[in-house]
Amino acid sequence: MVFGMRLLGRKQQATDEELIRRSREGDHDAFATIVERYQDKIYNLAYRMLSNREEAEDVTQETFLNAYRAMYSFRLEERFSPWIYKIASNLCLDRLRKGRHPVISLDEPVGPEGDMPQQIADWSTSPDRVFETTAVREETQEAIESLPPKYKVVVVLRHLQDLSYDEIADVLNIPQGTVKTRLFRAREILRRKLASLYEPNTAEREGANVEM
Amino acid sequence: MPTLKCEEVYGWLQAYLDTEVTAEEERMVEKHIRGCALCRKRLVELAQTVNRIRESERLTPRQEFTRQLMQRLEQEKKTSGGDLA
Repeated sequence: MVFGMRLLGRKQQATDEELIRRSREGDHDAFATIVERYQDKIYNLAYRMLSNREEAEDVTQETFLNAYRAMYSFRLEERFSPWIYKIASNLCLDRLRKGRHPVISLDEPVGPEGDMPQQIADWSTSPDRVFETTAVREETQEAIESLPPKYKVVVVLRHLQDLSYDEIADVLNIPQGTVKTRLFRAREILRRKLASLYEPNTAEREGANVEM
Repeated sequence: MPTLKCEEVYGWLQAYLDTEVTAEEERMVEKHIRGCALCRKRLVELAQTVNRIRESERLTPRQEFTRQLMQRLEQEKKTSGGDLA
């Protein structure tokens, strides 16, 4: 395992497209490197979309299996990352459409996987501050969760995966103008929802009704 | 008073956050927010919203999950094996 990891580490230099080319030629390690590179990203995309850890795992697995099966139809002159995000986003949106995800998330951030919020272990931070940070995080998460799927996916691709408007348009197969409209509306919804966290009583003050 | 209305600037204000504006649009936004406290406040709140989203919790899949995924891919390679290549 340790050896494998070292080998993977050294292959970090190759581009994704190069790795896919090698995978096609039967180099299984090359695809393993792709998994290394993308599994956290895909998992977090799915988790953010579905708000459920098990479903996020399912989607992550499906994404890589689909990518593996479809790699021969991937055009090597294209960029790989939008391609795999497209597979993952579509799987998430399909699930949301079919309503298979539970409404209430069973996953609290504290868990045996070692993904507890780090602040809890940080004794230099006062308990009040910890509570505050955790509360803000939870509120933010709930606000994101409450977005309609087509808005949520744009926010996730933009801010958790750092894709450009152009790349998001490519992933979702929608015009760039639509990406902007959805992203701006989503952020406006979030800004208003989270307004109470910025400073008290500012949320209601402005009457500007922004329609894009 | 700013020459452009806040509603007209709003889209650029959002794109400005993503640094997806041209140099000219950037100047326009900056000129507007210098003279408009409401849009300045909006921009700050939007930037804070974006930071909140970015800072939201990231999870790592279980190690066991990664192992299973690799196994599953290994199986896939065996079953699809020669006929694809």
